[in-house]
Amino acid sequence: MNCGDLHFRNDNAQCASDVTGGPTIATSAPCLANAARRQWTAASAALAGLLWSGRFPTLRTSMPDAEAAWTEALARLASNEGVHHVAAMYLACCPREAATGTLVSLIGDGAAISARGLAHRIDLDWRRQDVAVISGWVLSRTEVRLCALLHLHRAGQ
Amino acid sequence: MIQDLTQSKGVGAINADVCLIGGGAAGITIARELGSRGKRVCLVEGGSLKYETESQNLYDGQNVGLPIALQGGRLRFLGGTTNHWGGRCAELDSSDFLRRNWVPHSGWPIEFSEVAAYYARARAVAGFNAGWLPDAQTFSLLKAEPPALNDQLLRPYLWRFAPSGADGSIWNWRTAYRKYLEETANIHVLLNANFQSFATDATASRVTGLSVRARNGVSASVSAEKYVLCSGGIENARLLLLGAEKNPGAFGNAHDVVGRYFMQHARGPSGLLVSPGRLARLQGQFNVLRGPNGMDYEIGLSPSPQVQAQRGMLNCSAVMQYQGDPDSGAATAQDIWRSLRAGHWAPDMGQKVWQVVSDLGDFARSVQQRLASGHSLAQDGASGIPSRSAVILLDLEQAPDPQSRVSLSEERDSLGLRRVRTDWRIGELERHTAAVMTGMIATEFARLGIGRCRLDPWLQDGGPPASDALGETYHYIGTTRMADDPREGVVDRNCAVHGMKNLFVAGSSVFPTGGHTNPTLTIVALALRLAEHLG
Repeated sequence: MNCGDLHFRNDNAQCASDVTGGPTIATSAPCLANAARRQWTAASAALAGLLWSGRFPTLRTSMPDAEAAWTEALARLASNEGVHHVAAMYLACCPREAATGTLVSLIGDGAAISARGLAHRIDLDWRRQDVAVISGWVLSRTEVRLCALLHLHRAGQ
Repeated sequence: MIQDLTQSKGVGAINADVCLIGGGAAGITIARELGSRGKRVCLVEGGSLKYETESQNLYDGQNVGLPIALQGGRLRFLGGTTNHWGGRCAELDSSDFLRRNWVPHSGWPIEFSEVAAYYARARAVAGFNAGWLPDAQTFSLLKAEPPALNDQLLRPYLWRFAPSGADGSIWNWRTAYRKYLEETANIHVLLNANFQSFATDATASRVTGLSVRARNGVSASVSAEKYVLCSGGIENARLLLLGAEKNPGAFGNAHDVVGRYFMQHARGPSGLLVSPGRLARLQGQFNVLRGPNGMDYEIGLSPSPQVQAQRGMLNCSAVMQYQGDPDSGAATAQDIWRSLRAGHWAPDMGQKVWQVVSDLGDFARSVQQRLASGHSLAQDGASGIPSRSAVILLDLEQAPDPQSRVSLSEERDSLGLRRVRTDWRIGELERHTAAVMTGMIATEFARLGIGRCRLDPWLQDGGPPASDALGETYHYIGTTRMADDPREGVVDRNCAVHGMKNLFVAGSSVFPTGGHTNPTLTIVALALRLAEHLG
């Protein structure tokens, strides 16, 4: 299955397996690697803060859990711009998921999302190699959906 | 006996049971085996006992494909290319011998067990007198039990390094066996004896003689029952092509296969591993490590045979090249040491000393790791320095490609023979393999909470070609490949050249596929097997 810039490895996949494009980060220089880590940390902190603030009631959880979950699960994105780029690409390809309720349901597999549940789903993605490659960074499907969720929230949808 | 043809005008004609052409790992190994059985062996070596530029220049040639160091990658004196050997040893995987539907022209005509039977002796020939323990025991010995990888995807892969010589140099066949060759009466080593031509019978199906010549013009001939080419992955093909030039259709080239399927292990970085914290644990697991027995080891990763089949990929391996964290106490201590050694007292010395003191735990671990790997902290390099990132470096098996080849150039060397022409190619299957392997490392390392990976641009859509990222390893493979059918290979399962009654080939040029690992141990195992066949 092909959807614009998105290439799916598995026709049975509901949505993205392979996403390409977006901002790039050089791989060779340690200083750039450090920059990437700082950007990840910033992106993670932004997402964690947003979610913990209760603006997504179904995602609300205690701060220690949220910190642990997000530190573990979202130490990954190249930049804040990257989050929105990933989301835009994903939603363009999977318009039926372009609603917060749908995404929350998919991420939570129909149940309320907990920090532990998120970590489990992301772990499952890794085990199944259900991943998207964005500007070279390898992300799990759930992470990509989380980016889409944040993107929709910021857009007020 | 070792004799220099340059100084031996009266040497004339030499008679032997077996004539070996080339004095590297394969040639010397076969000479020792046959010599110990009382055979009269003549080993002709184009170089002398040491590196000489004029001799090395005979290895020059024309390259029309991807870059190859025709001179730098091979050495032309007794011991051959083992004179710059790194000593990194491992066996091929049993799956490397299988015909794989997704790898065109793959599959050996013999089973892994036929080579595996010789690996134990090959280790001894390569200097491993003891200490080659099973992998699991070795991981335990090194205190490097690997993380809980999904072994359906990835497995830890272990290399052992050959021991150093008495003078601290890396083991090589010249220093290890020169004395033996000098003292063994039924082995006649002729140095500076460069190949000139083969003589054949009327049907060009039997070699009846070999002419050799020194660069100063002194010549000699060798008459033997059997002849074995042991001149390396490029030169073996060249010598057969030179033979076929005078005898079209002979010397294994009835079907224009000689020199084709030219492969190496393509090597290059494929991604970057980044961790929010330090990778201290990983550095103790996937690294070059020295065991308490004094042996050096390297632990990397390779794909399981199952995943190779599922994902239609080649075999390969990955090692981590750690990038020292410049803020760590150990790296700062290195800075301080460098400043003091250069006679400077840096203005921020106090701050640097504080940086070391405030990172004492990792600093102590670094010193311990560096000492364990044979480095002092004063030496440059990232070994043992705490890292937050690492480059993933791949060694890739290549898919046999008949268009990737060695042939003869129109240029001639100083002895009047046509030089070699190389056209080395890297295909799409190699790129696909690198992408899948790096992706699996990324997902497994993410799952285990080790860190996150970014694929290098050449593995992303629209990125540069693989040939921009991958380079050579000097492991020249496949140019006289083994196959039962002369239309698909140059030598048969006994390493005899198709259509020739008494001409054989030893070395990695007979590998139909080369796996991902360093070839020397398999070259030696096959040489031992061939020696047994030659009787």
